[in-house]
Amino acid sequence: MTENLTAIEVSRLEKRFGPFRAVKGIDFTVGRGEIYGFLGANGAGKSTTIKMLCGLLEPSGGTALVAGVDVAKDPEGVKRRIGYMCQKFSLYEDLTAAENVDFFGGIYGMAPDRLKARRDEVFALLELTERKNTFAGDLPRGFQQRLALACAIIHEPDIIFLDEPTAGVDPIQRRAFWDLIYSFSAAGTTIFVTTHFLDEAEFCHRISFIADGEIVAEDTPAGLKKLLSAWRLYEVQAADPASLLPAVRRLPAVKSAALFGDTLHVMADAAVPAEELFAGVAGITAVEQVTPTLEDVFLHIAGKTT
Amino acid sequence: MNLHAVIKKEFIQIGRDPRSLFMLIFFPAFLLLFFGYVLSFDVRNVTLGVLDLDSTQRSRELTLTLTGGEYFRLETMFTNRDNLDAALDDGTVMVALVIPEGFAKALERGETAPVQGFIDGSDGRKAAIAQGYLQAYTTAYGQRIVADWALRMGRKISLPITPEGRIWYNPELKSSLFLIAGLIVFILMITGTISTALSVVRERERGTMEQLLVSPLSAVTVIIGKTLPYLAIAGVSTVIILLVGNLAFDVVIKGSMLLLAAAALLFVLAALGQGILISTITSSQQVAFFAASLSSMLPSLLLSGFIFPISGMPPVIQAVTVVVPAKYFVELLRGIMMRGAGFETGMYDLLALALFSTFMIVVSAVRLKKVRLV
Repeated sequence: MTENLTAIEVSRLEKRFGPFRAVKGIDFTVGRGEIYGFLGANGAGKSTTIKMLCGLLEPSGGTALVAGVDVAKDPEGVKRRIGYMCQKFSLYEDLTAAENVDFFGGIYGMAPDRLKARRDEVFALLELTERKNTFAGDLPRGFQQRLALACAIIHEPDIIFLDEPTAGVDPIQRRAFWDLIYSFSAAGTTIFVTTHFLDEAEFCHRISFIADGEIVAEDTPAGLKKLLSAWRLYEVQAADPASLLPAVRRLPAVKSAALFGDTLHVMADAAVPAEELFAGVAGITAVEQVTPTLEDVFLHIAGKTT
Repeated sequence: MNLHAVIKKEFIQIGRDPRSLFMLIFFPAFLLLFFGYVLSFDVRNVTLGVLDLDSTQRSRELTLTLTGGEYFRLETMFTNRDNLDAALDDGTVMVALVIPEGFAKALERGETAPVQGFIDGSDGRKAAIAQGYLQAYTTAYGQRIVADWALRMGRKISLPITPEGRIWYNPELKSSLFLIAGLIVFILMITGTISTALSVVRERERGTMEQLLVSPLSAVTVIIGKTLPYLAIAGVSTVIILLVGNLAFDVVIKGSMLLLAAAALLFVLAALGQGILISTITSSQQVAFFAASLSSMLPSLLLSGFIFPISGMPPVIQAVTVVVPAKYFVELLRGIMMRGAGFETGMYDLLALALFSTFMIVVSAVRLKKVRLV
């Protein structure tokens, strides 16, 4: 039974808007219980793909099986099996936390007693019990985020779609949120998440990058970083890093260089030793080799595709 | 049941906004009171000035006849032609009558005695009615003179033809009853349309509509779940507006109560449906509000027969009125209130309202599915 192992199976999925191909026949598979990060710039086809997977948008071609259901043939069947949370934390601000959850449980057709038991369980897990009678509009942002999550999981979906779930939430809350996501994943729920926080993407089991309607890279975070194995990444310190940028970029062994905080991140041929590399540039105070982050990978891939 | 969840949620939200709820329930009755007292087409107490150049028993009798009823009020007696002109100019009198010298003598001789009337025509409708009154009174007075004369000659005469019209349904020809019916329709149309016009667009603005669309809720369930609570509220406000109509304007329901209930229900549903449809095609609450106000107010004011009779409109406009739900309810309500109409006569209008409201709900549901997600 592949259904038990595969949560999402996408093959040659395509979406055209008139002559414009927003999604150009992509393929990927998400396993059950996996946390799958879906990354890409605005307009790259990210939202279009999510909407097709959630049954909101009909694909123009290809197939997508979500929780074993074909999104083109039975979008309503898909909707029953998934939970969806978007970055706006779509809550009814004039309803209390409990009323919000009861409403969403109600529209999924949950019986009242089961709904009540499940609500208590979810509120306890998300530490919302004490706030259950607070109006959603009066909750702090971090609590709103957790309430939106509570609304998305109240009906015990097989797959949770999280669209920019941590936008506007402070780092501590973000961390706590990811702990919850891990616990859902461990319990067998599949998580499909988009984010533009690249440090956050490292929490995912697997990541794919979509650019210009095509998936340009897909791997584990560690695997993606191996893409850069032919290159070394250096953090270069200088009094005025910005002014060195043109000179550094002109060096023959340098592939790319970019400002990174108050330092420069320079990607260069691994065959050239560091001491030789920057010999011709004045004003450098320190050079240190660093481990590439996903952001570096992303910049590398983005540089290749554009 | 997931419809139940939507209805419950809408009721909670409506209850959280008591000011709006209060408005929805009592505002229609308030508007009825307000407009009902201001709006009247009855022409009474037309101001009259008389220039009596004859100054005889007969000429004074004519003046007295005119001012005996409640239709004319003698404002002034002119002494010359100049102050007659001045009084018409400054609006002191609406109708001026000149009884020429020799009026009584001409009657004496059995000749036709002309009197001259001037009517301020700036309000054409009122002028036409005043002219009618003037003609009726002078004719009646003329007939009396002829009859008197014949009697003195020892004979009884009868006029060759006398039309004996009886005005049915509204014997006092009070326009108020007729207007109140139209006014109730007008008010219910506006409040009904506006009440639902914000419901979908508000959710779209807040982003909750997206959340509903990724749930297994069907579009029809969303539309019906949002409409039913407002239907209940509109039902309450309809009962209140009819009660106020009864207390303040002597509106009595002569016809079938059941027909009234069915007609009001379908009509309010049509208005709510129009609001919902507007809500699914507009992009912001402001736009929805304006669209709802205009689309409900203008047709139900101009094209419903509320003020302007549809039979007097050019054929193209008459064809347009077919899609104005207020038209059918105006007909129904006038029928029920004034003619005591029952289901036999109201069936066609009732069917039209049912079609209209079904159409609105269905189109809204179709539109909702196509709502662009941001």
